[in-house]
Order: sequence, then C-alpha cells, then structure tokens
Amino acid sequence: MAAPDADNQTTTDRPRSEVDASLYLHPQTLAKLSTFELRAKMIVEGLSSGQHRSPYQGFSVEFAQHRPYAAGDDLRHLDWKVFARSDKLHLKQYQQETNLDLIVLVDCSGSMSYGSRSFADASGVGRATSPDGRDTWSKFDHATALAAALSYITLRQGDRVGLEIFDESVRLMVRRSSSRDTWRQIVSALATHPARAAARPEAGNAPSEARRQSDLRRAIDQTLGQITNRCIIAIVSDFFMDLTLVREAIARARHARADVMAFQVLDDAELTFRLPDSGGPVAFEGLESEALIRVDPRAIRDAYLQAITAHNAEIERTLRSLGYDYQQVRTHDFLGPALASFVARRNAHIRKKIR
Amino acid sequence: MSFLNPTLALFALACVGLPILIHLLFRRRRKPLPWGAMRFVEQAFRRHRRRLQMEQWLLLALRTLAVLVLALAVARPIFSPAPDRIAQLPRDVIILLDNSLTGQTIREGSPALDAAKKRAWAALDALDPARGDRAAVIALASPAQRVVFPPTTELSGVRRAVESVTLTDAPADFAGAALVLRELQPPQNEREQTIVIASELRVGSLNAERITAAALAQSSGIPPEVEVAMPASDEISNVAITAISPLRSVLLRGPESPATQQARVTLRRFGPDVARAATTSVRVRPRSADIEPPWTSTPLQWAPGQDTATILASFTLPATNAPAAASAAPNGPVWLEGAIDEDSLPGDNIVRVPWRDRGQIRVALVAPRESLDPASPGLLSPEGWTALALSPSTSPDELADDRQAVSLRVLDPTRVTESELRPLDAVVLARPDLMPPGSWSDLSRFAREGGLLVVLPPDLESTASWADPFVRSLSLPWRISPPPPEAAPRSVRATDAEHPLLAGLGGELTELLKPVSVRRSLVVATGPEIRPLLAMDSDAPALLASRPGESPRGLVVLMTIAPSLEWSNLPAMPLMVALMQEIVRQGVGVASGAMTVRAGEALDRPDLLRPVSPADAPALEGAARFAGVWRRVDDRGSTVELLAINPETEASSTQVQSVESLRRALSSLLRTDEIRFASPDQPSRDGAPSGVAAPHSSASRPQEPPLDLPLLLAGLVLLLIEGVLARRFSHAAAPQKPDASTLESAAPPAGREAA
Repeated sequence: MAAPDADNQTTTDRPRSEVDASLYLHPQTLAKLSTFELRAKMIVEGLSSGQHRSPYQGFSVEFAQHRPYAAGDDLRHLDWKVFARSDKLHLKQYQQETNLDLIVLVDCSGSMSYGSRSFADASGVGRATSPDGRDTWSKFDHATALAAALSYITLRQGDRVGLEIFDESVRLMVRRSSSRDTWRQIVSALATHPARAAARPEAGNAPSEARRQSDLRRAIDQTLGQITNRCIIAIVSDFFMDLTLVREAIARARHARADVMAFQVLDDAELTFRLPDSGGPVAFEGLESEALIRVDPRAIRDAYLQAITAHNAEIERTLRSLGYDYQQVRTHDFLGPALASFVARRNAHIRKKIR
Repeated sequence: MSFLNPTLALFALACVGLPILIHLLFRRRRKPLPWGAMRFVEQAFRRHRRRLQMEQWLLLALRTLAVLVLALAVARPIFSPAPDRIAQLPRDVIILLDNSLTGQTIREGSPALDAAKKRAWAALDALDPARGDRAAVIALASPAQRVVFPPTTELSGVRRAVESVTLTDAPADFAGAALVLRELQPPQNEREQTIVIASELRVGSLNAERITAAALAQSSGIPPEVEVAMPASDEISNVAITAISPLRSVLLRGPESPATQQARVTLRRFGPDVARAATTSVRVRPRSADIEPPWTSTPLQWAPGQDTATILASFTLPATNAPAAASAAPNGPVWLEGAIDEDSLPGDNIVRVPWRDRGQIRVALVAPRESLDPASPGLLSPEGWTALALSPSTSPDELADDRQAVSLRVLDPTRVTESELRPLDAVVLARPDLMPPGSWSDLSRFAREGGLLVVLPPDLESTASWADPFVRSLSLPWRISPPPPEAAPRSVRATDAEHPLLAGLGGELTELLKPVSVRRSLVVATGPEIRPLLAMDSDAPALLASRPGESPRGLVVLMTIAPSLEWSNLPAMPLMVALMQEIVRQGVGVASGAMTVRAGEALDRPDLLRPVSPADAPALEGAARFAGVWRRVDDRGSTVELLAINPETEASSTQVQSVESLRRALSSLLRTDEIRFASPDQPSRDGAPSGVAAPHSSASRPQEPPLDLPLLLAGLVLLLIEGVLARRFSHAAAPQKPDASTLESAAPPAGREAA
C-alpha cells in the first residue's frame, strides 16, 4: 500500500475490490483513515511532531544484536553492561514486535439489515441506492464501512486482518493475511453477502435467509479455535441478542485471553423510536422471524426506550467489566470516534508488550 | 318500542358493523414496517398488551355504540308503555264481522256492515306485521264462517277478505264463532290476543238475555281481550214480515177453485214504534218464475204496544189459459210472496212460501168396492158415507172425473201396494181392519214420502186386527183401544181450530159442530203434548193428526168416530162433507212437508238447489244464508219441489241492549272479563255510565314523543367520550421522554480516547 503523501491523503494504490470500497467509506472517513493511520504509524514508530507525547514509553521489543557505537547515535541505547565488561561502546539493536492481528466479526443477522438513513446521504459516492437497489443505509452497510476501515488500518500497519461474517454461525470467512489483496477480499465479501437482501425478502431470497438471528457465542467459539497468536477480535454487531449469549461469548473470549473490541452499530430510528406519524397503530414486522405486532408506537415508546437503553447499558457493562472496550456506532454518524477508539486500543496492546 | 321510520331502524342495525368493518379494512391496508429492534418492541408490547387490548376494545365498543345510537336516532323510535295490556308482544287480532240480518240495518244511508268493515280495517291498521302481529276474520252469519283463519301476518290479504264479506239474511252465530275461537292456541306469554267484535250487537245479532246453555257449553278458551268496536246505542224501529201461509195448502186450479184466495200473514215489529199505533201495508201475491202479477195490499193496523200481528190477506190468482193437468205432479213452481214497505232493515220485508199447485187431488178410498153400493140412502155403509163426503156431487161412477178437484178412486184393501199408492196424494182408509199385514209397510212408506193417510175406524167392536199394526208401522204417539159400550151422546168441539186442516172452515166450524152428537168413539190415549184437532166434551179426542214418526213429511189423520150412524150422526151432518174435504184438501199440502227453511239453517244437498227468486242469488254453500226461492232438482235436473228461505224472526230485532247485559253475555260466551266497549261518550241504554275503556287503537292512544333527540344527544356524548379516550390512549399528548440516544450520549464513554 502506498505511503500517505504530505497531505496525508492516500492518492494512489487505493485497494481494488469487486465493489467500490468508496461506497462504504465516506471521503471524510477515508480522509480520517489516513489521519488515523498516520497517527498510528507515528505512535508505533515513536515519531511525533511533538503534539502528542507518546504515552508508550518504549516498546515491547526483543534484543536482536549489538553494533559498534557511531558518532551521533542515541546514547540511550548504549549497552552499559557490555562497556563494563569490554570497555567498548556498543549499541543495542532491537526487533520491533508490533505484530497484532485483527479479526473482524461482522454480524449479518436479520436485524442488521435495518436502516433508516438514506443511502444517498450515507454513501461515499453520492449514489441514491445500493447496488442491490436499496435506498436506505442499513446497519450492515455501516458495519461494512467500519470493518473496511479497521481492516485498512490494520493492513497499513503491516499486520494481518481476517473477516468472519456470522449470524447463527460463521457464514463466511476471509483468512487472516497481510497481503495487498486482503482488503479487497474483505470489502468484496461484505459487499456481496446475501444478508444485504435480508430487508427485502421479496427480492427473491428465501425467507429463511432473511430471518436469521445471531449467535455470538458460537461465532466466538469458532473464532477462538483459529487464533494462535495475539490479535484483537473486533465484533461489529447491533448486539440485538440475548444478553446471556453475549455474556457467555465474552467470557469465553476472556478465558482464551483474547482481546475484544465491541462496536455496537445502531440506527437512530431504533434508538429514538421516532417514526413517521401514522396516526395509529403500526404493524411492526421483525427481521428475525418475530411475529407481526400491531401497536401504536406512541403507546409503547416509553417502555421501548427503557428496554433498549437497559439492553445497551448491559452490553457495555458486560464488556467493560471484563476490561474490553465498547463503542456505540450510529449509522447517522461518521466512523471517526470508532476508529480512534480502535487505534487507541491497538496502541494499548503494543504498549503492554513493550513493557 | 316501535319506530316512526322502521326501515331506517333496520339500517341502524346494519350500521353497527361499520366500525368493525372499517377497523378490519384499515388494518389490512397498513403496510408492515420492518423493524430491526423487534425484541424491544415485543418487550414493550408484552408489558402493556392487556392494557392496550382493553383500550382498543373500549374504543371499538364506544364507536359501535355511538353509531348504533345515532342510527337509531335517525329511525326515530317511540316508546309507548301499556296502560292496560298494550304490550310490546306481537298480537293476534280476531275480527268477528257481523254480516247477519241486522247488518242490513240502514245507518246514515248505508248498511251497518259497511261501518263494521271500517272498524275491522281500523283494527288491522293498528297492527304491525314486522312485529309479528296477525289477524283473522270470522263472519258471524249463521253458520259462523272462517273467512281468514287461523290468524295470518298477510294483513293486506285480510283487508281484501273483509271487503269480500257480503250481507246475508241469516242470524248471527256467536256460538259457532266461539267454537271456531276454541281452535286458537291458548295465548302464551309471547303473544297477545284480542277479539274485535265488529257488530252493533242488536238483539237480532245477539240476544244477551237468551244466551243458551248450549252456547255456554260451546264457549271458547280464554281470550285475553274482547273489544266491542261499535255497540249500537240508538234505537231503530223495524217491521218484519215473518211468515205467510196460504189458507189453502194446495192450489187447485180446477173450475171450482175460487180466483180470490187468502193467506195468513204474520208480522212483528221492533223498536220505539211499538209503543205507537201504526199502519203497515201488507202486500201478497202468487208468483212463479215466469209470472209476476201485481200485489194485492191489505192494511194492518197496529195498536199501541202491539208487536205481533197476524192478518188474512186476500189476493187474486192470475188467470190461466189452459186447464190444469190432471196429473198430480206440480204444474210448475209457484210460491206466495208477502211483502211490506221498505224500512230500516230491508232483509225482513219480504217472505215467501212455496205453494203446491195442483189440478186435482188424487185420493184413494181403501174399501171393498161393493161396500159403496147403498141399498138405500139410509143404508149407506160407513165407506159409502165417506165416499159421499169426499165426492158429494159425484156418482160412484164419476168419482175419477178429471174435472173434479178431488179425484176419488176406490182401492180394494187387498190391492194396496206401493205401485198403487205412488200416484196418489191421499189415502182414506175406511176399512183398516181389512188391510193385509204387509200393506201397512207400504202405507207407512207412502205417508213418510209426503202422502196423506186418513184412517176411519170400522164399525166393529174390536180394534185388535188393525190398531197395533197401524200405530206401530207409522210410529204414531197414540194407543188405540176399542170403543166402550155406548154412552150418553157427546158433543164435539174444536180444540185446535187454527190447525191447517180446520183453518179453512174458519168461523163456520163452531156452527157445524153444534149439531154433531157422538155415541161411540175409539179410545185413543195420547201424551199430554198431543193436542187433538177435535175432541168430545169429555176431552176424548175426536180427530187427531200427526206426522209419521220423526218424518218431516207425511200426515196421518185419525178420526175416532166411525162414519156410521150407529156411532154418531156425523155422517149425516154438513160437517162431514166439509170436514172430509178440508182434511183432504189441506192435508195434502200439510203432508207434502215444509218447503221453507229459516236462513242460517243447514241444507241437505245444496248442490241440488237452483235459484229461482232472486235469479242471481249467491250460492248457498251448505247453509241457507240468503232469503229467496230455490228449486230442488233431481239427478236429471228436473224440478222436484220449491224451497223458500226466509229470515228468522228473532234475527230481525233492531233493539239495542245495555252494556251491562252485553258484557255479561259476552263474558259468559267467551269466558273473559277483559271486555272493552268503544265510544265512551255514548251512554248505555240503562242510563248508567257505560264504563267503557279507551278504544284500543293507535289513533286514539296517546302518542309518546319520539326518542330521537335524546338518542342524538347520547350518541354525541358517546362520540365525545370516544374522542377523549382515543386521544388519551394514543399517548399523542404524552410528554416526550428522552430517547435512548440522549441517555446514551449524556454519560461520556469510559476509556475512550479522542482520536
């Protein structure tokens, strides 16, 4: 991948994919991506313009070899023990150990197909509809954008990234790799997953395809079975699932000493429960095989908000109680804070290693 | 409750389903909203499901009720509580329509039946077939007739049936109507029954003082209500000609027949005019189908207080061109009409009686031929005296002369057979002791078929040979014993001078009886109800007459005095000829049987009756409802005899009756105390308050105001409540609580580093 230019813009070698990733990465996001990547790189390499003191004192590196001191070398790296023994000045040379794989788990259950934001407003290239004809920006679209951004950052760091798309189980997997083609594969896999058609069963998909729920516990199990080294598991989901499953999944990850970052993707309409005033009952149709419910939204709004707020709070509490990071990502907002959080998490990992 | 707009009431019921229909249609049209956070919707819905359902049901109920109430308001219901058994239950109304003779009473230029029909229609108009009301009609002319029965909801058909009821000359048959009413089911709790009597209830229709035990025994079940729709309270005078009978029971058209005849006419008058003197012109004439001669009038003077009168009215026989045939068969249908002037009740102003029209009376004297030959005038046998009396101006060789009014033949006792008797009108049995035993049955048949049998005792000591067979074969109420030894002479008197056999003698009978002296006579025991025509001064019967058994025809006349000078001087007295002539001439007519019936009586074989006068008389249909003259025909269509139908005398009474007496009579007849009389402003006949209840008709029942305005207000209130509750239940005005996003962003995320 090309290095950013002086303007921190990546102008060449944009990853190619079957679907134009710019659809899922807003120009500003892309711009911020570059910024984040730059910052990450700077943090990792310890270069800073002085605006950010590196909080990470040193790195978790291993001693590789000595070399004779040359005039101008940093005296902090002199091996004083060797000088004491040999009365010769030698510098330590370290092997940077910054490898930190990323596995992105993207939820493709039925609820992820919901979206209330217009596609034209959210997409990166100003298209009114998605390639499959949708005019709304679903949570899965947003998850795709987030997963693409996270993957991009990781690949720019030279680390490997993998993808697993799951609902009741892992449906599709992109093996971890650091190759240049990996990002394209990831974006392509997300862009062409059948879950995108979940919101529109009339598009020709079987109803069963559109109505699956998510089983995070099983997806975590399957993921943990493949991990052999340190990596961050980024879960991108709306977490509309039983709290018991979430607790069990997170507990298993904790037991396996895996690092988890949770990105809860939510739609504003789901959070606010503000619907176009129909003047009466609305027939709510669940996207995961739930029964049709006809009810006036105004009659249950308070109870709904209480329920969803409590659920989200419990998700966050569960994750944070195990030391994991939690970030709420709204489909109406840019990905910047989410990405910043991710980078910070990565840096925290690297700092721990150095110590 | 009923409705001023019943059609809209049905529409109101249909509108009840509108809110439900709208709700269902509205539900189907809502497009489902895909929702990702469905589990939270489910949680919230489960939490408030019961309350939400109750709210929706309450709103639906309010909307449905409001629609129903508003729709009912448009239908304008009225509610009329029953002051006296005016129930909301369906009703059966049975109309007793009086088309009897008194229905012809002229009231304000039209018969009373017209007013009765109007009352019947008014009763029908008060019914509502939608509520299940039914009606039936019984015509009261005897016998009571089911015009529409059992009750039906087809009220338009009932109206037409009422229109079709015609006037009759028959009396009213309340007992028969009560029998018909018994066929009705006893009123259950779910149905009300009312009997509407559309009759003036004059005495001619229902004599309240004479409700017979038979009528009570035939009373119906218990109808809950009786309404007397039009009781008469105004007195109307009426004169009825009730009977006419020719003095001569047989019209003999021979040269001896006088051109001027007489008829006994009986009249009756009713009403306030009875108290006054009056004159009635009585007209009489003989008639046939082809001949309608002018009337002969005789005035009748009524004395004050006199309500019954009988006069002898004279009339002239029309001249005939051809002499009467010698056949004993009728020459042609002839009847006698008696009429008076038209008055308030036309149906009883004419009366008719068939009159046997004969050229000769064929008589057979049953006696040995040789016994008629007198050795000398003083040695006439009893049979000779009898023959002489029957044909006083004829020699024995000229007895059967066709020119004689009485054609006499001698029949040997051994030749008395059915074939010999058939062409005869009368048989005079001078020697009953010579009758073969088998001949009594032939004589009995002859008599029962309308023949006259005159029996004279033989000049014998014993009656054993003939008395018992005679009495037994003819089923006579007599017990004949031999004559006792000669006793002191006895005179004879008339004990039933008005009897048709003696009526022709008139006032001469007393004079003719004076010189008669009787020394011997048969002893005949009779019942106390038997009244001899002539009797001795010892009250022993001298002349008896009876029908054979229960037969309505035939006549048996028994003289207890043998026409022998040994028994009495009667054979030599002028009475003998006159008596024998009258017995034969009148007896033939009496023996032929009554050819009149009273209107209302049942008829035998009405299919064999053909109208003669009036020629367009309605069909009789098994009962004699219409007055007039009919001819009875045989199976070949030949006329056998005439039959006259005349109104019943009591049916002509136009007297009114008090409400109290009518109430008692109707209560006994119909076994109910729920009797209401219409026209409360008219006092009763007795002057006491009539005590009638308010007429039972919708026109006079106080009309309750419709309930549309209260219902309209109630509907608007319901709509207002529904609106308030709908808004409340929709939570549209509920304060907007912070949403999840607001709550989420209020607390800064922990551990998140700003990029």
